[in-house]
Amino acid sequence: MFVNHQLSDALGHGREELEVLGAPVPGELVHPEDAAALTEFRKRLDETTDGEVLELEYRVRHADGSYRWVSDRGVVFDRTPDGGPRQILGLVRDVTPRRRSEEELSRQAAELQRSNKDLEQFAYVASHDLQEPLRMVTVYCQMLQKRCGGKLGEEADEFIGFAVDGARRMEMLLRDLLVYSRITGAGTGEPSTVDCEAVLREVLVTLSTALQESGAVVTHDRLPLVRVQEVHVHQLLQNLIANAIKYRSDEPPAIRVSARREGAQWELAIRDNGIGIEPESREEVFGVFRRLHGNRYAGTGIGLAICARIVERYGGRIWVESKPGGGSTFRLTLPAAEGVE
Amino acid sequence: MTSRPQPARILVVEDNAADVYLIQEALKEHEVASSLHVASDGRDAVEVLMQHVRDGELPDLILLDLNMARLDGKGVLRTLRAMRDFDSVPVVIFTSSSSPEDVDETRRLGANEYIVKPSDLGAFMGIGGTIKTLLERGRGGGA
Repeated sequence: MFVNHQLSDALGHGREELEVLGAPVPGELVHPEDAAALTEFRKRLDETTDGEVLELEYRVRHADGSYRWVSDRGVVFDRTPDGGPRQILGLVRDVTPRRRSEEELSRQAAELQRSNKDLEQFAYVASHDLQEPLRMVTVYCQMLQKRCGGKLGEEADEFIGFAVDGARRMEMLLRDLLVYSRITGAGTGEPSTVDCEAVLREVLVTLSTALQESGAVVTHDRLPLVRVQEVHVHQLLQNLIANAIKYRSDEPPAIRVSARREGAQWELAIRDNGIGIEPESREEVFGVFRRLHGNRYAGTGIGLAICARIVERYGGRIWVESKPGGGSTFRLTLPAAEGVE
Repeated sequence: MTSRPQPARILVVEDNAADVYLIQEALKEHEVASSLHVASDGRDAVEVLMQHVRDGELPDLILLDLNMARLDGKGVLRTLRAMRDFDSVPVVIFTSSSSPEDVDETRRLGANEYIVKPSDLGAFMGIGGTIKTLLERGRGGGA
């Protein structure tokens, strides 16, 4: 029985003391909750085949009364004629710092998950419950406009106009926030097999006015089947195509929707010939309520955040390739319906 | 000789006075001759309905909000269905909830229409047209 000084230092007990106690880590120093696992570990070690290394991490009481985590690796390298262990080589290391940072990490992860969930719930409740009083404000501002417009003077008409616009804008923000918070909320439906091509056809019908007005031409590959909720494909294609129309250059929009298989995923690409995005804004565009152009373009600035959240929900990713004036290509990945080909 | 039709008896179950006012405006806009009885919550509505049964005078239409204190709209709808007297009276759900569960459940409970209260004045006024159509259908069916 030999105990090296690293172990005795780590545990704060003298080497002689440990050697007298008769085991590299004496049972009486082991944390009660880990004692059974250690007994089991030693029993399994006796039954190992030669050369097989077993490892266990457990807590040991330091001389100062605190517990330290140790990693105990053992291997039987000599046996008695009846097969029992004659010599065991045990390597006991102090792994407390690593265990503490792991515990801290997992505590932080749990905390983050909880706070995300709280935030999601908050966003949902806030946007949902604020809609009703806002509806009163909107409708009654409109009523004021209808009944009193032109009667209270030009200035009053303008004020009412501001109030109506503000309320309408807030309503759009709340509605979008509600959509955003619902993407990952509980009870939001199950994925099914969705034909992206059929969804694209519906989206083009929805956007037909904007397509006609802008003279946009949308072409596409044969689009794949993916395994997500249909409403999510709809939101993705509608947001990305609407953006391609909205942020067009002087040319009529030419939009191409293509698909490429990447393992168990499909990568969809929506390419346009619009104004493009500056390199420094390529991450920013996916943030909530981020608008690069102020009020020059209509909308709340949540469309791409919705897209990013949908894609992330399925473990995919979304990014944009673009150069200013040279159009943009938004790429995103979604799980293929039929798994890996 | 033509006789003016009797004003339609409409029971409005609504706890928000601002919405009651808009509903009246919508009926005026669509020239629906009506006499409105307003119940400000579900319990109140059930009492009014009981009185209707006792008087033998049923409303021609019920406009029902869902989120109300004391007894909510679904509670009122369940009571209506249990009483059987109102099976032929159209019920329009008029609510700020757009939840698919609410739509499904009220349909199962026999509501004829489900309309989400619009936040645009013009669209809100449309409730007058919906009510008018349902009343005319009721009159046509009964004649």
